Amino acid sequence: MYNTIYECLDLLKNKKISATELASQYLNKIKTSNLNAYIDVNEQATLKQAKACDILLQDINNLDTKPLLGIPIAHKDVFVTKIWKSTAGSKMLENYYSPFNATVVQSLEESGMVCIGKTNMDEFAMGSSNENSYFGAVSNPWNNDYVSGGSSGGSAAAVANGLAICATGSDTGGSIRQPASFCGITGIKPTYGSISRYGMIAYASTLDQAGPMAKTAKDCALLLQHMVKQDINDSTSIAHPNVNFLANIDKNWNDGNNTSKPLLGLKIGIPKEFMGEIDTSVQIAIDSCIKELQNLGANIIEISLPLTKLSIPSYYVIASAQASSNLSRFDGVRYGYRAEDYTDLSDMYKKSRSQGFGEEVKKRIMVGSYVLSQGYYDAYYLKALKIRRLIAQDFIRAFESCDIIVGPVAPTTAWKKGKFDKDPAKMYLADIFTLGASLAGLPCMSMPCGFADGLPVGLQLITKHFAESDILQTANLYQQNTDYHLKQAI
Amino acid sequence: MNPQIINQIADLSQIEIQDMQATSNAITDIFALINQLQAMDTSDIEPLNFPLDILDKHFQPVRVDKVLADVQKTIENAPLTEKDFFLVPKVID
Repeated sequence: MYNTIYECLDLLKNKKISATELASQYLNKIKTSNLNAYIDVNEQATLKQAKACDILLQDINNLDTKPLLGIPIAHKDVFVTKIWKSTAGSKMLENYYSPFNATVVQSLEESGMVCIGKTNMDEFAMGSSNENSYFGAVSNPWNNDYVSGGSSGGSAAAVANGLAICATGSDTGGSIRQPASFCGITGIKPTYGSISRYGMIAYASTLDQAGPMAKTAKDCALLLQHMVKQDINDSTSIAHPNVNFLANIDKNWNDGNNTSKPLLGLKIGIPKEFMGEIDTSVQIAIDSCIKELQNLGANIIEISLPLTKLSIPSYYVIASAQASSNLSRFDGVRYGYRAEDYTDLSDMYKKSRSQGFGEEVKKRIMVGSYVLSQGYYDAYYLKALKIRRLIAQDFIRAFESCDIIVGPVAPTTAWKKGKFDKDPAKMYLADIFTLGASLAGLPCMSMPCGFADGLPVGLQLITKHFAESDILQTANLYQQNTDYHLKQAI
Repeated sequence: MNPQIINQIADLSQIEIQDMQATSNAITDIFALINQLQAMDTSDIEPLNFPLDILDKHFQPVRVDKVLADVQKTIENAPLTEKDFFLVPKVID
């Protein structure tokens, strides 16, 4: 299969392949895959879109208005689509068809993309392993006994295993970065508000953010270009001031001339709180990557994010509270699962929700309801929001002495399926490095930087609000000098 | 978290508890984690709900309050409807 969108665009422009042939290749590979990466595939609908692209590709000038014409993409099943089901990985929405496309789906379709299908995910984006899906766990392409990561596990596994050239994901507390790290691909969560949440099934409204997932930083930048825009249907969406993510992506940092040191002048901060409490084999891979960044000219300094550990309770209070509010719409009345037997309206609500939601979702709704309730709101929710401000201030202070921050995405590589079955709350601790940037609304990404015990390791890059170009450029320059992002799971 | 509190929370959440012991253990574990927040003094700190408020700039757009939804498409996913109405068990005697 193909490694990059750019490679496919070249083949399409030069008529070496048609959009229909390209889509068919991916559809055929999906049929024989055992990763469980997809929830809904509709061959007829995909080929119809591809055929329409082929007609337009007869005139190459159409690529001016549709720059991604004929490129197939998989959408995480958190984004609603008119033609494919939209389940959010839940029994609650098992047979739901949306009356509209999510803005991000619509934007990419208008850029010419072909939808390959909807990818598997942790239910309502709540999870870090993709084991919480009603439709079954997703397997890691590098070792099928291990998790893909979550909640965008289906998207990550699909891209890593050649079941998609690229995919959309969503990231609330690390759900693009962590599965990207676990599956050995690249993924970015942009500044909060950059991409419209209209049509993105809500988990935590002040944290949720869509983002692209692909093998390379340059592909992610290309997709981001077509995903970022202000939307009147989402009042939390912003007019991003720096949308040309490709402008400097191939240039040396600060327009330097030294071809062997493209990162000369770049100041990278490594939080001391991110190092030391990770698996030894992950530490070795991260240290090696930092050395490679230094060899490319970057200057490494130690910084501090002292509230890193408090990001876990702060996030889980805020996210659970907002989830309890967002998921109150699922009552069996207007859409979604309705229980068959009930005595009255209240019983219908309770039975529909209890039967329609999985255990992790129910737990988080209950935690969220409690922390918002009378007598506990100040002690929990308000407290968590105050710590959120302190965490955000820590990042802003850190960026006074460095351009970007790097560190591991997670303390470990992917774990064996079932590891946290008896103690699910322990899985929350694995999010320690990704939650802070989410709480602060910062752009952050993961890129492959090595392997540990045969499984991929991802490096997280975080930067200032609206400075996505800086981390995409750094990642691209790193990927031009290494090949971890091109490794294929067999 | 004793059963009385769990039942109160379940009622707030409109969720039925199948296994009280398992639910109580799970929620207790989560609160053991969450209670770490109390160690931090935040008495002079303002809460941050919308993350971009940290930048002290107003970003959020507003639009005209106009209905954009297609009613017919909107009700297609409902379990039970009659004309443009969603049907639920009777609530008024």
